[in-house]
Amino acid sequence: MADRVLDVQTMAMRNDLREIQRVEQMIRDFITQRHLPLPLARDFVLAADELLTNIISYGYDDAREHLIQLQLQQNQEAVVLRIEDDARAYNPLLAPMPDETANVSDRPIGGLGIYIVRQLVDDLEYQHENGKNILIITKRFLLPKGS
Amino acid sequence: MECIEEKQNDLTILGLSGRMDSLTSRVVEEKILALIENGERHLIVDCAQLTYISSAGLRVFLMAAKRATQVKGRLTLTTLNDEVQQVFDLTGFSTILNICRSREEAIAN
Repeated sequence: MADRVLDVQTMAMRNDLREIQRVEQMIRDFITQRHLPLPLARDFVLAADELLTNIISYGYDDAREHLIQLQLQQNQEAVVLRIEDDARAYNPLLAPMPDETANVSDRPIGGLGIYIVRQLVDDLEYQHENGKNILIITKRFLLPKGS
Repeated sequence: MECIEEKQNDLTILGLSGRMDSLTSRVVEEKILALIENGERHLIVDCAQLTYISSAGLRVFLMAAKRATQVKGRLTLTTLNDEVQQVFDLTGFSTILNICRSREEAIAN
């Protein structure tokens, strides 16, 4: 059975790194107001930061202002964040994974952000529709008994 | 993001407070690289007041550790809080960087 959708909240942000703090606040408020497990907020904030930083830093070929649409969704057993942008088509699922065992000198500087996201969430999905990149991250949780 | 520099004999201790993300990590990067350029070889970075780190911050530590190794120096991080430690663990950085539990331990090394 599909996980039932209980609540949805949306927001739009500009392609400006300073906007990420506002997203962070929205995620924290969303999790705390619904009394969801707090580690969810920590993991979601970091995952969203990594994805949005990539989009804003590397995704755009012009210097114009762009809007990124965000949607946070609470399901019965998961929180889902959907990020939609009009940046250059880019599928982060195809990014190479860093070698976790390499030492300091051999370890490459890039590729870390998406690796962190994959470690933090249960599901990372990418679609490209109507010229838009759509990223969907899902993290499942179990509510404590009796709540 | 704040970096406070402190001297103990031939050691330089850099105390970080605040967040290391894509907006703020550059401050730390410039600070550490400048210290190494100026001849510092044994740098201790105290992370007790560091509340948040993303890959942008990890990149700075990795770059700084590489630079320190090149000049036969050493970069040691100390007193990571649980959230920051978790990000280091997730990425395998706990094993590739020198990390000590306390400042005293870092100085003794």
